[in-house]
Amino acid sequence: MTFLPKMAFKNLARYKKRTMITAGAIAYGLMMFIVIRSLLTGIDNESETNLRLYETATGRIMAPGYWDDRETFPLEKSFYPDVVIPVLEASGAGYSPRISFGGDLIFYKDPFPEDGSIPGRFTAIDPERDSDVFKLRDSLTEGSWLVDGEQGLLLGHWLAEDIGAGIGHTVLVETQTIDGYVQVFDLEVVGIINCPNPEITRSGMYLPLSIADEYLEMDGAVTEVNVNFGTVNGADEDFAALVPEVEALGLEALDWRILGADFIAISQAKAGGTGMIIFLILIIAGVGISNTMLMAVYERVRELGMMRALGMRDRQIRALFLWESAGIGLLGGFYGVGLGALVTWPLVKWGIDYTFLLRDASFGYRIQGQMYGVWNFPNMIFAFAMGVGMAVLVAAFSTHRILRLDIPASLRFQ
Amino acid sequence: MISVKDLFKTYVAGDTEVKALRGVSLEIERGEFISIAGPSGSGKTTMLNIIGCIDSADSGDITINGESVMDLKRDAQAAFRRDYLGFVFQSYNLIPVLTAFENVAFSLNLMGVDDAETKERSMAILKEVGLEGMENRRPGKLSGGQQQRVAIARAIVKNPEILLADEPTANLDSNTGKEILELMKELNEKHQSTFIFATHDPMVMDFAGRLVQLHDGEIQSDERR
Repeated sequence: MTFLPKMAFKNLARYKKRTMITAGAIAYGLMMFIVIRSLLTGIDNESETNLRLYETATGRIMAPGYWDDRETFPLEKSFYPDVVIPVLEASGAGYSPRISFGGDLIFYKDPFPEDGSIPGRFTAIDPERDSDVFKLRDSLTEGSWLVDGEQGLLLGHWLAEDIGAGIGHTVLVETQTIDGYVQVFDLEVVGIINCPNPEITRSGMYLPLSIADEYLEMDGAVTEVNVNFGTVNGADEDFAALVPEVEALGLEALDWRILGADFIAISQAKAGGTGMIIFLILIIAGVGISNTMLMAVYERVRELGMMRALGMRDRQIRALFLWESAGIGLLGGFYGVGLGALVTWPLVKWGIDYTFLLRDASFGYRIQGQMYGVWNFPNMIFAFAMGVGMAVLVAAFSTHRILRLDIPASLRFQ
Repeated sequence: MISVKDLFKTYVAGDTEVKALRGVSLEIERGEFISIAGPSGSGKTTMLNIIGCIDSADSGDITINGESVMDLKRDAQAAFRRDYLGFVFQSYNLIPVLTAFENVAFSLNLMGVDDAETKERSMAILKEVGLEGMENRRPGKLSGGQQQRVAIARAIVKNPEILLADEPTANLDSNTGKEILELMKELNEKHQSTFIFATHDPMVMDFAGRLVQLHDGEIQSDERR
């Protein structure tokens, strides 16, 4: 039955313009699908990495109930890190104790451009140990790193710009001690951080752990110990293995997926939203294809009537149109994947700078600066198969409609 | 060989009923060259379509070589048309993307005849209908008469028992029409296929060995010459 594919090919060549338009509609849909999926995957991958490198590490150990009340910064739900450190050292994990507390950052005109205060979250870190877990130190773009015992402050780059802070400027921190007494102390801006995680760049405020311990009267207690097993495969399993041991000590251990639940939820919601956009693009392409395929079929009703009169069976007619539509689908698939790869290439190599969008609003993703695509070959193969499948499906539907006409009606069709 | 018994067919168009055939009965012998003639709406095309298994009757029966074709399933009807019937249409109905040779070969392709035999038979029949040297022309590059010759070649190449032609000369000038009829008569004598025409062209009626006149779905006369 090679005459059917041959005839299908000739029909495709007969209607060159329509073939190209239909294949073009498929190609456009597939290109958008490939590019959007490439960017989304790139954003997700990079966000996950930046979340773990700058915010959550592999996981975090806290006192029971702290995580549920974290919005109120409950210092009383703290613990002594010495309890858990032997377990962490035995596991080979990097670890870093921290105190998170809420307060106001107060600054005055001269050297600041104007008086003001900003409420926010302060994070007290161990300047020596923190680099075992987080990459903050690598993101220092101005000034110097914190020194234990010195009243220094690191600010996120955008935050510093917003309030006009520079190295050497002094600010006041107004907060409460662990017992609820108001406490005010001053810090000197010693460094500016500009890291790939926009949450840090937008609102990060870091001071030495020993200074927070003193002013908050923590007496050596911390609100969290962050644990790092790296971002390689197996890190999550290593952390999961640690959880029972930590819980046996009366503490709570949560992994990065729970700590970054906002990102995970937003990522999933956005994937759903983007899925809808992709679906709409494919619908538009599908309507284009079905329109041209219907035209192709209806233009040849008489021809098909004649073929049926000569003894061509329904399944042969279907096969003929399926060959034609598969040909269009293959053409559209090749074009679509080719165009998709062509557009993805600069996205992978140079990315898109959308800092301007992220600076003033958080979208949940933990990326800033360049948004990069990734090569997603299974997705390209899927897109290709989808293009062919969509064309074949639409043709099957159109052919079915034509075959419902009786032969004399087909032969009379104008 | 073909036995048509008490054939009724009514078309419904909206609220209007058109009785296309009203109890038509007819016996046609193998190798006949028969014209079913009549004015527009007399039922001649309907009758041709029912004999050709591309339309169904409301009641009655048609047997071909003793076998009823009325109750054949859709696929079996297609196979019957493919193996036993040839069609020639008023407007030729050639496949525009195929050459004259490919159009003729199409019939044999459907039957699953191998490539070598298809080529041999198609070229021979094209020569027979006077289109030698034009095998590679597409329909658009052929005159109306030449296109109808290709259509006849396509119908006859498979040696059908019955060749059905609906107004085969209607789109042709009288000279070309005559040539086509002479060709068909020649093929009828040579291949011993039964030729059945539906026509209102007097020239076709003159050529026929038997003329069946239909009027308002009934046989008005049946004249053998």
